[in-house]
Amino acid sequence: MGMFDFLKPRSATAAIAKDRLQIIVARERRVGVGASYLPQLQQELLAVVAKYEKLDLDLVTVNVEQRDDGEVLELNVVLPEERQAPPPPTTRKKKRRKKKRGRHLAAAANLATS
Amino acid sequence: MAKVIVVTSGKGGVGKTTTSASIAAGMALEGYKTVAIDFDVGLRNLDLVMGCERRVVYDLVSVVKGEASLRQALIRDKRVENLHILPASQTRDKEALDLEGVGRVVKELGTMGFDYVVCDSPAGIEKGAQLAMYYADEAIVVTNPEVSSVRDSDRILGLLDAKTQRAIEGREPIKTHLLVTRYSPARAASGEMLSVDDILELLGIELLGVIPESQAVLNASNQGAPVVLESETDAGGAYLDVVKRFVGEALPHRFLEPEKRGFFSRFFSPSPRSAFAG
Ligand SMILES: Nc1ncnc2c1ncn2[C@@H]1O[C@H](COP(=O)(O)OP(=O)(O)OP(=O)(O)O)[C@@H](O)[C@H]1O
Ligand SMILES: [Mg+2]
Repeated sequence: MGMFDFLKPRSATAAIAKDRLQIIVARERRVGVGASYLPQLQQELLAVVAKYEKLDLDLVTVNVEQRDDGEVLELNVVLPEERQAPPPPTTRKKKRRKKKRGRHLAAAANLATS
Repeated sequence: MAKVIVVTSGKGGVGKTTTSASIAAGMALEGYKTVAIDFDVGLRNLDLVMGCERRVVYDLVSVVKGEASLRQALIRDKRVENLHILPASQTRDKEALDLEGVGRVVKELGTMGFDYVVCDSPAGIEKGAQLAMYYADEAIVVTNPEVSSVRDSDRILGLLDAKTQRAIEGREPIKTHLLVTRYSPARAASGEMLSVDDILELLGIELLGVIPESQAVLNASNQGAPVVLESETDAGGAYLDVVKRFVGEALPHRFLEPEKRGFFSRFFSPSPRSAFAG
């Protein structure tokens, strides 16, 4: 960002477009390579996680990444920041409840290279 | 052997048919025996853009189905020698075409002495688009300076790499060319529109040419004449350059930068990004 940015018209949005495209295009190129079961896998994993946590689909990403040691399947789930409705005080749980913000559930697995 | 060129994009309405008509007519003007094939079954438009809609009797589907011979179905252009059109069917459904049948047509065009076969692809990435690209030797990927178009072009490039005869048979891959159309150099310079450089960086293929956004395109299609025939217009001239580049002439790219303006108009309007970009 230069000091003369104010001289640019307000609609100079091409840079934003380019950044967004770089991300989406990179992701689609990765997914495009063979792994056609990914959307299905994403759905099924979501169904499992949803048994335990309130989730929405946008917060789950499944990726196959090419690394030196082969392909890595990555699962990333962003858990909700807080529970919507805290349980009434009478039913206090004995278990310690973790109260973190923006919790993450991430997993990676090496795929067998065939 | 005829060289098969597919004009494709993924996204609809970016200028494939406009481009197919002008590339085919331009090739013919350059002396090559050329045929433009409309693969947009059910939504044919190439005949309209090329001004031969009233002469359509048979079409690609009738040839594939064996209801007409290729010679019967080919329409010879009245203005440009060497230029032929093989229209699409307006009434049949998309399932009417198959790989094998299209292969026979392409082969026969080769034996008839055609130099170039220009395939106007339908929009999308499904069967119709894949049929249009299957036998191609080279691909012209038509892209508008707009996010959805660039993304779709990238997906089409993936298909060209994987789902074409050359890819499947492990032959030398299809040659891919980028054609940026409906470009406004001034808007790109002021950062409002993705620039040709941005698109090149994202897609990573060779630039064949830039066609400016132009009144001349609508004007030409209104009259049923490929815009390349009006080579004194900006878009017409740009298409003629593209054709010449395609057949091997080394022409510098045009329409990359806004037209030079007087000192005062430049001073009082937004500066090009490069001038102030930090
Ligand atoms: N350089 C240009 N300047 C101005 N208008 C243009 C330009 N190129 C194409 N157009 C206009 O854009 C519209 C779509 O063009 P065209 O039919 O060639 O696109 P297409 O990619 O073949 O569309 P489809 O996906 O529906 O087959 C038309 O109205 C055409 O006149
Ligand atoms: Mg079209």
